[in-house]
Amino acid sequence: MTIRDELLNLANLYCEEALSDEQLDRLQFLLRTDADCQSLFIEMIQLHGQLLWGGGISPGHQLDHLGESVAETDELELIEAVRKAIPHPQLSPGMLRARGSRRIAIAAGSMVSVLAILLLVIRQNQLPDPISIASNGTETSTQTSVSKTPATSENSVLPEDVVPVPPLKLDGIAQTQTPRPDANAVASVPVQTSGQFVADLNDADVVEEIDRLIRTAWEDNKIQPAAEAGDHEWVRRAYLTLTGRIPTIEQASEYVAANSPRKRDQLVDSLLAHSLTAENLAVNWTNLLIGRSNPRDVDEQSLYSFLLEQFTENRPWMETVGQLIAAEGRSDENGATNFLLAHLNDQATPATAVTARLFLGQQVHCTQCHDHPFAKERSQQEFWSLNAFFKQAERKRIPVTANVEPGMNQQVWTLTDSGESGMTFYDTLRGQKKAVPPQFAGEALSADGTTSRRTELVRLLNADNNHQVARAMVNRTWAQFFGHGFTAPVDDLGPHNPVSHPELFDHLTKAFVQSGYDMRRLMRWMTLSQAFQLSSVQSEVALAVDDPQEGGTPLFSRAYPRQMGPEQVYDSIRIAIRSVSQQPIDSSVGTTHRKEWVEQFVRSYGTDENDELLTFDGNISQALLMMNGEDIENAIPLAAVEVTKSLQDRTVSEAPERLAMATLNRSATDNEEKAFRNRYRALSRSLPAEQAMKTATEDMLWAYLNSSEFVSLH
Amino acid sequence: MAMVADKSEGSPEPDSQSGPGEDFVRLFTQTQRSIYLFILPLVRTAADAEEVLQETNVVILSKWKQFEPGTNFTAWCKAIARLEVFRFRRSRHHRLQLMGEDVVNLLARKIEEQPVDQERRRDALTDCISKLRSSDQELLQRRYLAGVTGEEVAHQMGRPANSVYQSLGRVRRVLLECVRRRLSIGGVQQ
Repeated sequence: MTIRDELLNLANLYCEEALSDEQLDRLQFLLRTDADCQSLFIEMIQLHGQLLWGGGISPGHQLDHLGESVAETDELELIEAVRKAIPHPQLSPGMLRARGSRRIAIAAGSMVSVLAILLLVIRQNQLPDPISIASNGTETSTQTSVSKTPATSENSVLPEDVVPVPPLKLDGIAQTQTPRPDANAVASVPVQTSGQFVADLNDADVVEEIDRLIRTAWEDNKIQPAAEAGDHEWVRRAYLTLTGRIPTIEQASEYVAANSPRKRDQLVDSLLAHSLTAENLAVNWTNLLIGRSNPRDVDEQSLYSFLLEQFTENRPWMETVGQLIAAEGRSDENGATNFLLAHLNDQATPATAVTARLFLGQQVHCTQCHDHPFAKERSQQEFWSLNAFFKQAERKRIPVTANVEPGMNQQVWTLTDSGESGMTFYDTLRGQKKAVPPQFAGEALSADGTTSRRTELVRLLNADNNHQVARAMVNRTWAQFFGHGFTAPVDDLGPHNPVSHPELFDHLTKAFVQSGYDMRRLMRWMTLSQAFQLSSVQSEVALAVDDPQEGGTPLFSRAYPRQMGPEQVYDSIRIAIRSVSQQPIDSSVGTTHRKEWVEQFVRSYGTDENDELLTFDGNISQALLMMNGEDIENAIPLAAVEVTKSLQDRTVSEAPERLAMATLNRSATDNEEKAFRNRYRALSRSLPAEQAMKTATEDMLWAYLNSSEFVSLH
Repeated sequence: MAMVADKSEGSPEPDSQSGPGEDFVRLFTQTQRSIYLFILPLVRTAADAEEVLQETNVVILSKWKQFEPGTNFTAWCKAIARLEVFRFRRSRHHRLQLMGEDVVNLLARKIEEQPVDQERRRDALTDCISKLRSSDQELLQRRYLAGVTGEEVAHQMGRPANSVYQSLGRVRRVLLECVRRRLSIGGVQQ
């Protein structure tokens, strides 16, 4: 996070009067030390002030019309307008409120009468209680003009029955989307899906059905599932899967110590609602949508913010997909535009391929040039019919203006629809030229330029009876939670590719659609299912049967260990070290550095899918060394000092215990303790006890962080 | 302030005895927004800013005779507002911890250096708002038009306050950068 980002965050909280004292201190520090911060802060607060004063916002959705007229009216005319309006209660009350109490006061009568009041006030040399004056024959309260507490008196000026804006209909919808605390306690939750209400989708029922279908596969294959994972193993898995990082010592021990029989549900629900979970999804999807290396120089931050908001508010996945596909506008103003902006090169073939792969779970990039060799249903014609939807999409660079300040995004693009029309042409391998109109799921559009083709695509995706968008997301999310999807690879669905659990896949897809594409519920069902509770440790016999790594069909009879992604490693290292040294974890620090760090492992290819290769192999000693831009080199010795200090009168074996808890979220093994004691004894021969302890602790921490167990999600 | 009372007394303003003239009133009303925007960054909350503005207005209107027509009215008002900010800080009305005096001084000096282009900014802002997604426009309406806090907006929408703050922050940031661009290219936009 740059200073600029940090300052803007603090200014934002300042506007909302939500700054903590520590944040205020930090803000003041920035303002004292940095003149640019002062300017930026003032600019932001004044923008907020303009909005408060009523600049440019007007009621209703006819914003262009009304907004314009408010802005262009000069102050006196405005006052005049409000003055005239005051006696009539049908005046938009929002307008009055927005202008604040003193505006009403000024407007309350003619100029002269306002002055008269004020002068009267001055003469009396005190601020009297509300007084009423008659002006222009109208009885108007001037209470607000002299009130000491405008914020509260403001309410009294407005009649109760004209309380402004909120279109209350929306509230109902928003409320149905808040997370439910308890699967069993909630019998049925109405969920809005594309205009109709669907009742009777009960979380507990969905989970039960998942369990039944998974068990059926175990029975069919005569395999015993692994034992249930212990608390330590499970809490680490839950945090890593949902939030993308390991838990701190405190978080893990709080969970382990709890005795509620429903503690897994409780942790899942609190994690699902946690901002880290939304952040984790937003990071993953930013990477999926535009890649980590961003060779087309789109506004990654803006895309990330868009996604973060969608996931934080738990917006329906279908809505997010629709906004990404139909996005228009500037790359910095509408984050969703950046997905297509990154892929419109080469006649939008990457856009076609990535849309098909990510949103429909279809690998079509080969069919750009030829029919799919073994997927009969996948033809070259299909590729170009999908491609035809992107024909109007147009990417333009906006010239960068002179006084761009450092830290601001240099490249700005616009994504618009041109009025382009006509068929899309392609060549078959035999050299024939063919023409197709935009077509999806059996419905073809006319090739004229009257419709927005991308908007039409979104409509067709919504109407798709096969629910391809839902299937693709279910499979990807399942793979994220269990290490393998129902197909391999996860994004290659179709009759040519066998599904490990067809019935379960259908069941989840249906439930996901029925829930209104509710991501939080989808994740909830998966985390509460029996398969997610299992240990990664399994008997040799069972291992031989259920081994998807070797190409077998996954049976989900145990948790499949897998390597963390680079972002997870980075965040987990920070958590672990801070956990050891008992430093608070500031999640806002380090995202910029994480990005730089991750980029070292990324090679981009100019392929037809704008592919890139992640060369991160989980060898973390290399990774750790490359983190020196962060505070690793200082943090580890510091952590060791902390451990040494806190040990004082305790036994030597407590050091490895604490280190193991911080890094691996489990107790130290006997072997590890023994190794540590040996190291400590060896060092004690040449060093004073405290120094020996410190060095041994440091070595042990490095060893844990370098273990393959640390980088594994299991 | 170098304005001397008897100087304006000698001025030809016909109603100089009874109250400020029309020109003064016009200037006064036109300057309200600028003074408000001057005060807001120096206090913690919008309610505080309104209160300081009230007090400032009282002083401006009581000292109208001291203003020398032809000199910079806005600067004169800001000087008064600045004193009122500090007077307000010494009073006990504020509910939140205040910024340090040094910081307020730094900020005040910075704002005083600012060119007076709030009108252009407002026009640019209006334009930028009209370019927002409709959901973002709606959020702004809920927050600003209804004159309620972000917390109340969150409550109305059944969303966590933090997520609403985050959304508002993003929208304001988009607006900030949009306004900058509009201003830097002289308001010309294809």
